[in-house]
Amino acid sequence: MIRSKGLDTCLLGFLVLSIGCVSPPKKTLVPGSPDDLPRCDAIFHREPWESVHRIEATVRGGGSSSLLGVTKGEPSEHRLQSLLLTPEGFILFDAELSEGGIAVRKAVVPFDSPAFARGLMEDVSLLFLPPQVKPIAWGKETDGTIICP
Amino acid sequence: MKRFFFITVLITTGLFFAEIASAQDWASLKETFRNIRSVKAEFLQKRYLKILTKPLLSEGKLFFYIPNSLRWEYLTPLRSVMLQKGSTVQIYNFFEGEWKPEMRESVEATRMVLTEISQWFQGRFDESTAFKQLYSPGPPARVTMVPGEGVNRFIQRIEIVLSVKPGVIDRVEIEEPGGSRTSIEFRNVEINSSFPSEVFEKP
Repeated sequence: MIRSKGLDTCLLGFLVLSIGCVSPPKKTLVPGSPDDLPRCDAIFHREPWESVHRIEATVRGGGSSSLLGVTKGEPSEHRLQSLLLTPEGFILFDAELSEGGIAVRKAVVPFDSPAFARGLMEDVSLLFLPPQVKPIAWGKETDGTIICP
Repeated sequence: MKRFFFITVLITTGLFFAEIASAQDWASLKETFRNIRSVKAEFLQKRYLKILTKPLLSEGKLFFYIPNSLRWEYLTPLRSVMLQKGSTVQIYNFFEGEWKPEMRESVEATRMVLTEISQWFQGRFDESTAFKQLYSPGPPARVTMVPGEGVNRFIQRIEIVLSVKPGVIDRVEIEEPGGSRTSIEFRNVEINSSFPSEVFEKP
């Protein structure tokens, strides 16, 4: 049922990274060749896909909220649709991101602010859609892992 | 002209008798639920969304005791429970190994939903103020609930399909504007079995 828990894990990851203040040790990269470039966006799906995530939040004082996230991607169109649902299946948030911008179809309090819609869709886009520009540089670590800044 | 008159009379008469039959049916429908004091069941919920090729499946169980004690619990994919005892409604989510109270601002909406469900388990379909009701004797017998202004922004239609077993609901279909729908199938239904009252108080 839960096909991916990637979204919440990655969001947590970004949060941790954003408050971190210790610079990671500098890595020495072997310059990549043009043949390595396609590997930079190989992690992104090329075909249309669907994903269901579990989102859990705990607030100070013991309150909690459990939601289901549903996301559908059409990479060739650079289009994403995201829904947030309660465990009972009520849709709290439904929005689509395309090259024309963000269209919010449904947004229930507290998910009804434009800032929430923009933030969520930008986060989901960052996670699931390949960048629309080529990396400015790329290289390989000693173990062959490719790095695309 | 005569033909149109005949058809008009036929339709009007048909509607008149349908209305009478409907009033009788409501009474006999309530009669089939008259002896129900408690319901225990498992359910499979299928949530059809336009963006998903397959429905989202949720499984759970429910306990009901007249007139308004209800436990509606989801076991998968998210474990959560809605508890109603009288006018008190509580929602809990299970994660990180423990039950945590819900912080959603939707307890009032949940109270309305649970009140509707409690009425259905007692056959009091015609007492809903938010919906107009139509009864079709079938088989299978079904009650169609059409929402009034306001609720119709979220729900287009609810269809409650009744079992041949008196007082048992087989399935509930909920249609929403925009094409999404939810189907809830009840199974292993036990009528008037006993269970501790704390199922309505503690997650």
